[in-house]
Amino acid sequence: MAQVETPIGRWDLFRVFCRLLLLQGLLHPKGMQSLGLVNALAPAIRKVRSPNGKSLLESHLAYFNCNPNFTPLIVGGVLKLETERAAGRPVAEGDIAYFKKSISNPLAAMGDLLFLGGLKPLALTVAVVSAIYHSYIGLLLVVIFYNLAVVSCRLWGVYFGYAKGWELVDVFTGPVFQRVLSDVQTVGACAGGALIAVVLNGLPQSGAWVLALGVILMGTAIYMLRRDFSSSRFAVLLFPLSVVVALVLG
Amino acid sequence: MGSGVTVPFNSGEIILLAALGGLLALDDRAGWQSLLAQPVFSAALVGWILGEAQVGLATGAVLELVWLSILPMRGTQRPDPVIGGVVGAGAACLVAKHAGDERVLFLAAIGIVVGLVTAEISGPIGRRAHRARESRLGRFAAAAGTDDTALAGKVFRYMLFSVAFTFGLEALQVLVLLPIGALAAKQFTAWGQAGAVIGAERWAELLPAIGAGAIAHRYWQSQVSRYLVVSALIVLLLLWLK
Repeated sequence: MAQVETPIGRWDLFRVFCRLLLLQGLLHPKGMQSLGLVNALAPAIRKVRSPNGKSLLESHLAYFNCNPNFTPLIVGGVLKLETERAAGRPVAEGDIAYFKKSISNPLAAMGDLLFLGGLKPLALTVAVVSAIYHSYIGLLLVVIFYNLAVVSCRLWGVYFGYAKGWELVDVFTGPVFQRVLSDVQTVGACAGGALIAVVLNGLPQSGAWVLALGVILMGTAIYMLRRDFSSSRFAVLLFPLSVVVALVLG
Repeated sequence: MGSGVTVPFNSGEIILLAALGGLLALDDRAGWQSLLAQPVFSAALVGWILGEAQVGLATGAVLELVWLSILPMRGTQRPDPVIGGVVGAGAACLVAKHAGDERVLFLAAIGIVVGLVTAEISGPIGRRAHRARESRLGRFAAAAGTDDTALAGKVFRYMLFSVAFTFGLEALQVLVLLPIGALAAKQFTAWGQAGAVIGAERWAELLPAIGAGAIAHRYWQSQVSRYLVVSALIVLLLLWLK
């Protein structure tokens, strides 16, 4: 298959990546990430000649939503398809809309599971343990590694999406991603267990009754979270109670 | 100026922390969520800026533990973590700095309660204001026959509006809430009867148990719960042996 001569260079893709960093700034309920997508595509798509003279960006104002860390993959894929279309390949405008629609939902679910459900809680758990042990180095390392993972995923996504185009669909249907997800959740659970141990270990320092209260509080928190009661409001309510009890007991 | 209430801050500190709050809100709402807007980091940053690292760190760690169960997903009625971290740690650190109070745990407890309350106040305000901003973004329409350059320029202007709005809203909230929080914290520490101090300190010591409960709740029904239990037991054993 002959290579499509591309007017979009590496620098253009890098500019797309930079704009994707502020993707969520244009989020709105009607089109979700549509404006952010148009804003990100703009630096590169101007170099693609429209086959029918119509605005290429306008067609991307339709509803679009995905996990922001996986959106760059789709943006790269869209640019690849637009380039192929401009080069006279049999790619219709409807095909590009179908590509976005068909891949955004599974990628959104995978991205939410990986980043919101796995990597972020893991990073925050390690950060809290670092803060409990007064380790600024630990906090710094968490920020560095987490951002390295997120930003490099976005940067890689733009270039990889652009290299693959339609083939992106095949890449994410294999078992590799499931394994990565499972590994992240396992590490997250281990870190969570460590944090629970650190918290429980710290309680008896103020007396056995504080440990007993802590265990009761932990059980109450689980019960309340299962009933969707806000842990934040629960904590606020406990403050006056705790002060009054301490004042009464002298 | 006449003899009034001595305030535990100066305008430079409030403006600096308001700017920090605005930047962190940009990261949280518009950027790639670098984690810096999470209370454990924002409070540590505030503590480091004000030269009260211990107070900032203790406040942030407990706030993070309390909010560990709340994911930043669209539609969640979550308190504002940026306000909670910056105002909570800011109030505690300002009192520590200006009043020379060295009771780290007590000040952290005051910072935590100020952070929790201001975040609860700010949550609905932010949601309403951002709904108005999003509604304006939703009215975006391309004029007939617009070319790509004009369309891209218009979207970019919307982007600038959105960024400025997010920064300004959060900075304004810090400007209003931080002095109130710092004054309330100062009043409570000045009143600080022995019983109240002990009550506040025990409360701050017990709150991490809520975070532990949130973690247990998150992983308990998943397939990885056995790792949670084994890891907790191993670390607990190591800590006790130590």
